[in-house]
Amino acid sequence: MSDPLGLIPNATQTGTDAARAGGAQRTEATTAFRDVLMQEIEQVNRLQKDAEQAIEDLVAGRRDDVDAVAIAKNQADIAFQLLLQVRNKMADAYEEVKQIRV
Amino acid sequence: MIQGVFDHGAMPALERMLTFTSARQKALSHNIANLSTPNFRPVDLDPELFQHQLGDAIDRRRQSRRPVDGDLQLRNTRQVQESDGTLAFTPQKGGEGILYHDRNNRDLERTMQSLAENTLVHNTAIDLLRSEFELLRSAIRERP
Repeated sequence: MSDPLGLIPNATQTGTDAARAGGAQRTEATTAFRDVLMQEIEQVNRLQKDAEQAIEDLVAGRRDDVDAVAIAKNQADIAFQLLLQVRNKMADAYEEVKQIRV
Repeated sequence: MIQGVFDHGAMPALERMLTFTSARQKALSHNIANLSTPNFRPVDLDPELFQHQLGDAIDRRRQSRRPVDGDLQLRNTRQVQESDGTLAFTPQKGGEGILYHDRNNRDLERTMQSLAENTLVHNTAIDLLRSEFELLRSAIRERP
């Protein structure tokens, strides 16, 4: 309950055995949200790195397809902004959960 | 730490490209201004040489411990020297072309062609650098 997303590595130690078992079953059946998130972050990071490298190659005169480089750069920017917005939404949701009284 | 923000990714390369295109613009305008000056020999900066120099620096940075971070270290050549992060350019006299009777080695068409090329490269570099800054800005603001 304290760590529904499984983001905190040793959070399961505080939970009961039953809860841990339930959590394990769930992650087996479907992909964990954390994994999806990490995959997306990886992908955004790779897009950014590729775009930076493409720009460097363009400046060094190793390629001359300006359009492809510009598209790669814009795609990387959009991907980053999407990730940023997802992060904002998650932070908002966390704030909302924090307001709930138990 | 702040310097690390600006030395990331393609930014150092783009900045150097911009300083180069500005310097070349100056050299080319100098040629146009002296189009009818007797005994004048046009000067120019060779973009291919500079790109080669920049490519070497990028390669060296890619092989370093942190491939996408850190400043570029340009090796000095006759036309470009770098010291303390500032680039100094020495335009070279071109030897080719027709020599007119007033001993001016002008070539208007080629100068205008170089000028157009240079402007194109300059604008592309500015566009790319602007989007790099814009991305940093949105990361700081936490808003796209």
